[in-house]
Amino acid sequence: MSCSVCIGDISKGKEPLIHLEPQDQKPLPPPFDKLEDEPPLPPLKEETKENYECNLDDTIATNMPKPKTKEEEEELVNKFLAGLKKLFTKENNWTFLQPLLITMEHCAKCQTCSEACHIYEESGQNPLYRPTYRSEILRRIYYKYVKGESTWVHGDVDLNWNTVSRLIELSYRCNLCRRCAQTCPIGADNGLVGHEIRKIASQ
Amino acid sequence: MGVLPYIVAYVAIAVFLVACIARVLMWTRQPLHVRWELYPVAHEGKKAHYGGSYLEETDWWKKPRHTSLWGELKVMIPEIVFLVALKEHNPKMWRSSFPFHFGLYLVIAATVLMIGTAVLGLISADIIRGGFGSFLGWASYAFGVVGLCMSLLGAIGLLHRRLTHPDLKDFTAPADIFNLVFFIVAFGVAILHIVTIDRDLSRSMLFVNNLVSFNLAAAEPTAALTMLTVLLLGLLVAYVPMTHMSHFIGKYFAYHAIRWNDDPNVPGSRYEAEILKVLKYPVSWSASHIKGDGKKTWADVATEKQEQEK
Repeated sequence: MSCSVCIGDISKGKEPLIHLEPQDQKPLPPPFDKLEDEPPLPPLKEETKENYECNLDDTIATNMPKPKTKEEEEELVNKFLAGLKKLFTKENNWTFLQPLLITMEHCAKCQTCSEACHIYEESGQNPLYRPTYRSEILRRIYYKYVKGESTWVHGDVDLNWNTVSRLIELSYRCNLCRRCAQTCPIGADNGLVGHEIRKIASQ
Repeated sequence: MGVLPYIVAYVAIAVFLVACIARVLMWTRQPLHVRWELYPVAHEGKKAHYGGSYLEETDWWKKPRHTSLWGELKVMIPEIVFLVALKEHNPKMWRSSFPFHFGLYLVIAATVLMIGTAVLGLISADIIRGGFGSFLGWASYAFGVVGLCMSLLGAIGLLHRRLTHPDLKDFTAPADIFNLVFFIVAFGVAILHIVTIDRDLSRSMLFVNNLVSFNLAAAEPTAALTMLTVLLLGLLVAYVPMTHMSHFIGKYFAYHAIRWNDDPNVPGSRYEAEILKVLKYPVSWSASHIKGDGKKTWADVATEKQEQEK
């Protein structure tokens, strides 16, 4: 596979999936066009790395405490699944059920929305920040673990604590501007997916 | 084997219709969602060109609301026929996707023309005799052949892109490959059938005619390639609405129920009744601003918040 960050990577390893340098970014209009003059991104403190999950990229937004045992990890994964199931019930999520289902069902994964995402573009087109990356992972988890459908049809992904913690952190690498939805030729809304993943964390 | 292709065709059409109706019902029966429109909303008429809304007007709720069907059609027709959103935002994908979809439209148009010709023939054989009948036959032939070739080339292009483009490969499930290969094989066999057995499409037209008139007694022995063509096309027709390729239905709801749905909730509207219904749903999100316990309703949550704000 030629991808630098593949979908399957979300569940693997404890280390951050990517590391960004200021030079990776796209130059902005002057006076912000000299990337070589930009200071490096300050690394996370050792204390932070010890106490919080820092397994996505160079920063954290959610301050998720690290589970201390395998049992605790498993419990959190099960809670994630329970929250995911809530997302697809009319009682708990009538507010966004139809747009979410249409996005789950009909995204053609054509990547048309990627270039509309300013976070993906400004990261130097890092595949981790594609609008479709987080939505495709949620879609695969939904069809495999909630609906019990074939991975042959919807694609495969492993669900473990790495997947859960990274996916929740990744939902905060989207500012829900919905430019991705605006460009979707089908009308899917991958921006909404970031919004919905955040809900699972506050179930 | 004479009547078997007809049975396959009837079953395929029945499955297609039932699956499409089930899809439509599924989307129409979804509960009310919060307003989630994206501007420009095409039916806003003159306001649409700058992304405006009736909400800009003072006392909008006291005024009669005007929506522009023409405004919607001006966006929908080019979008459906030419896939303009894809052309604008992903032109490389459009180069394969457009011929694939436009070819399908032509094949559908050819089928409709053949069915129409058969129906007219049932009403009065005189109508389809002479120039008009020849024109219908010629148009069916041209649309059918050109449509099959365009779709075949488009499907090959899409498959090539899915298999080789680094942005798409990782996101492609085995079924995505299968779906495109299915189109390529079915349409490839249909073209082979035309080239080798049915050069003027007269057999296909006779088949549709017998199908429409339920005249199975007229069925002649079927060549193996004809049977294979009918079987593949029949399976394809039955299969498509059961997959995410039913986006021809989903897209309607994505636009009309979500992207362009800016209907206001005013007293006496259908939304008022629907909102009262969904507010009675029990909620179990435990976030601090909801504290749902599975018994508390959305109305309770909303009312509690109001009290706190006072």
